[in-house]
Amino acid sequence: MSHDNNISGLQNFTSFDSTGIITDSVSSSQILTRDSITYQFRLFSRGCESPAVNAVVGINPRPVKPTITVSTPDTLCGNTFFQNFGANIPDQPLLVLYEWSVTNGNIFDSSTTNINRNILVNFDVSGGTSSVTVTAHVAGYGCTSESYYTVFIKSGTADDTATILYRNGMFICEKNDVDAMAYQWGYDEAGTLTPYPIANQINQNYYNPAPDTINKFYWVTTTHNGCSQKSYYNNPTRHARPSAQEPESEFMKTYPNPAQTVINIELGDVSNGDFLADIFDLTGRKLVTTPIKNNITKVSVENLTPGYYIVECRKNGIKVAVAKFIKN
Amino acid sequence: MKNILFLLCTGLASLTTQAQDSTATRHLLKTYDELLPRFCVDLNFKYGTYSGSPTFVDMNTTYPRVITSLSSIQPVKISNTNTTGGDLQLGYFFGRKHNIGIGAGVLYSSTQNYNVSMGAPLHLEFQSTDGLPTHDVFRQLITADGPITENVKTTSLSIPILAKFKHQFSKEWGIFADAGPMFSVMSTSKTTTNASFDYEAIYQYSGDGSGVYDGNSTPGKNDWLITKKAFEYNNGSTSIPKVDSYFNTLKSLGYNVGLNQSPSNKSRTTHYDPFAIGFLVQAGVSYQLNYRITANIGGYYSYQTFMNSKTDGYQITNTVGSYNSLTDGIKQVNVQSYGITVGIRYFIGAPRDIDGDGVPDKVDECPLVFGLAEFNGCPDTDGDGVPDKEDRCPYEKGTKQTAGCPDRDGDGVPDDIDHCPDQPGSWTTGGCPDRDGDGVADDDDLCPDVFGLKKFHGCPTDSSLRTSTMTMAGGTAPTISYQPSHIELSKSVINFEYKKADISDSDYPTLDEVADHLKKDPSLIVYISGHTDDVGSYQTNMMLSFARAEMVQKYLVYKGISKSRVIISGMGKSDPIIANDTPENRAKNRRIEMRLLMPISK
Repeated sequence: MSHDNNISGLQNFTSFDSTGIITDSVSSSQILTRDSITYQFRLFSRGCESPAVNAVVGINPRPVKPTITVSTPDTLCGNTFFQNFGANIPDQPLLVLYEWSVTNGNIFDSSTTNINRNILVNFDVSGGTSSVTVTAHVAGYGCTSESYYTVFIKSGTADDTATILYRNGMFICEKNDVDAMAYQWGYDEAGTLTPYPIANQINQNYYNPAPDTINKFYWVTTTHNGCSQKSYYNNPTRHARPSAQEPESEFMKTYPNPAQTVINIELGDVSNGDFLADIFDLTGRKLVTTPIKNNITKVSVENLTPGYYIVECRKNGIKVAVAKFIKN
Repeated sequence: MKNILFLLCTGLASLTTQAQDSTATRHLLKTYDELLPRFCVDLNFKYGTYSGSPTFVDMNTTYPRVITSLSSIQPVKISNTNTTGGDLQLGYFFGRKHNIGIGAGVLYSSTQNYNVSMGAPLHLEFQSTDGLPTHDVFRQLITADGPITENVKTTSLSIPILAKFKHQFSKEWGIFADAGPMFSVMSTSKTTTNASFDYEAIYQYSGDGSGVYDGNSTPGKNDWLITKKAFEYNNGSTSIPKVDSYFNTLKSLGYNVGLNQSPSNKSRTTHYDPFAIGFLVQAGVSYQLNYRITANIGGYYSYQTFMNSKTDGYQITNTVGSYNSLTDGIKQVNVQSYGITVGIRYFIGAPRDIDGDGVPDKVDECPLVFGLAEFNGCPDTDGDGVPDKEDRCPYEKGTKQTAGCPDRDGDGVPDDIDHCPDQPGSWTTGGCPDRDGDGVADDDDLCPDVFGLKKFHGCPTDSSLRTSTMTMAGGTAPTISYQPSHIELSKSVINFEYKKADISDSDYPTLDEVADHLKKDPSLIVYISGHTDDVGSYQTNMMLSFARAEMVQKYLVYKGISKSRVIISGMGKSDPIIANDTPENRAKNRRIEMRLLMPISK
């Protein structure tokens, strides 16, 4: 038996049994550029060769271990949001999909291009370690490869994210209780969530008269008491699509349900702060954004077409609760 | 001798007249102030100290919602300097003695190159609104970069209304004093500042993103700090170019921030309000140059209040580059000045002239009698050019030579004492002709054509008398003429005291020497001419000079010399040996001169 591929590791086999099992292995470190190997069977009987038969064997490819690109600072404490993680497999001709998991943290958002090659992670536990794991596999095949990165979270809690104001061409970080030399402005590319710090933009303000808020998510990192924090001007989750399958949260209620003209959005026993409620339709289109003051708000739904709606509650851009209601 | 008596009488009469006139004049001049006109123009130049004490506006109230616990405002001070100026007044003296008066005019003063300053630190934090499209309210921080010093030049004009006093102690010397309120007309200060400021800002935003101001001294932790301190904290650098660049960028975007910003216009002009009140006092001594002009020198003190009603809302600066002079923020400044004043007083209008002769009493030597300017206001009734007080015959035309009396024959001996009024003669012969000039009138001269001696009735000797007699009989007159002898006297001049004809003791040896010569050589005679200085009238001096020569003659006669050998004459003040310009020189002219004469041998 021989094969027609110039793939290293393949062998020529000869069998003398009436039945034969041939085991071959692809030892190439390269990702396969094709998804099958053609084997040729030639049968010899007393010196007489029977007509050859081709057998095509499909390959289940397995990618090499992805490299994790990390942009997590050393000054990581509990309550630190939006830390960029990314994975990469160089010279990858096939479509590789990445799946991420985090212990002692949660994934906030992931890139929409390159199929979750980059993610944002929130670390809410102070002290201890967190493991960020990425699993890669070629689309359509089940063979995976895995890498992980261990994050050491210091004891202590980072301040809440700061409000970023844009006024008169100026990004202003509404936070001045920071450590010395603590500001760094930058943005994430919207599709990939690849972070780009901006050189020399290390003041409380960042002048940019024409920001590209469609393609860029602007942020600033600050450090206070040795704990860094990252705050966005335009938060990536604005573009995250809500899911009707997402379970409802305990502490947010919407009533009446079904609603006719007004829907009440009420939060349970939560800490003070600025909460925002967004109402989406099932296509993920955001229809209403309203602040929730004193844990309750009323929203007119007269203009909404009858149907099924999802309410998301966010604090500091982070989704904290989900509720659903029906408009009649 | 008769002639001399005449002279004496007329001289005494003249002296008496003069004395009466002087008494009247002195009486009149007893109050010199009366003699001056009532109106005067005073022009005084002043140089003195300048010290101002300002009252500055409270900027804690002129800036909106100042955080006083963070603000620091220092007092404004004015440096002491000198001021120059002057006053011009029109004055009027009233009352009988013209001592008290009133005056008004202008007082100008110019004070150059003094400083108005505010010390460091000057720091203000207050509410402001930016010039950006959103017009955000924010907290403005302004800090002066060190003390603020302004170089100032001030010019002021005031109207003084003064009570005036003057008093003449003598014809020349007096005192003067002015005192009264002043009303300022204008006062303008031109200033140039060295100020520069740091403009910083703290923005606080409300929920909807607009700027707010809470007036809290501690900035909120959400506030945007545009401060040098914050920049250095965030950049870990005190690099001036970097921080300047940071502030300049914000400034160019319309934020009112910037470091070390100087005013766009460093020079300002402040106008103080008119009609502020002050006062002026000046006094000193005066010297009368003539009846119109008096020179004054003295001291002055002035106190002037200047007000500025436009200080409401005064802010030294609010936007970058703006600046209001410190002088614009001075609500009131009290200025004191004292120093010297030097000036002149010019009297206008007619000075007092009692006799109305056009010669002011001040210079009228005959203030009660209408007179002529050429005689300092004294009359010359007969118009002979000799004023009455010197004119022995004031109602008859005469000549100066004859003290104003007529002299028909023109021999210099006035007619009334001329024994030969129609024949020219000489004083020594009472005005009668004396052809041989021997002092014996031709009519009495036995030898009228021969120089002779009185003792011999005008003949050289008795024999000549005889000869003369014979000559008269025979018709031929012998003549003896004299010429200066060769004998040198050790001293030929004797001096006298003022108005005296007494020979002083020290001069007798000289006269003894003359007597010895005359005794030794009987052919010699001595000629003695008397002289005076120029004090007194013509006839007085004539008489006096004659008296001095006669005193010498008397002594020589006493020593045994024949009176006929001592020829005397009085020259009055007509022949000074030196100008009568000093007391010493006048003393030299008070003299007799002696000359020994000898006969011209045939």
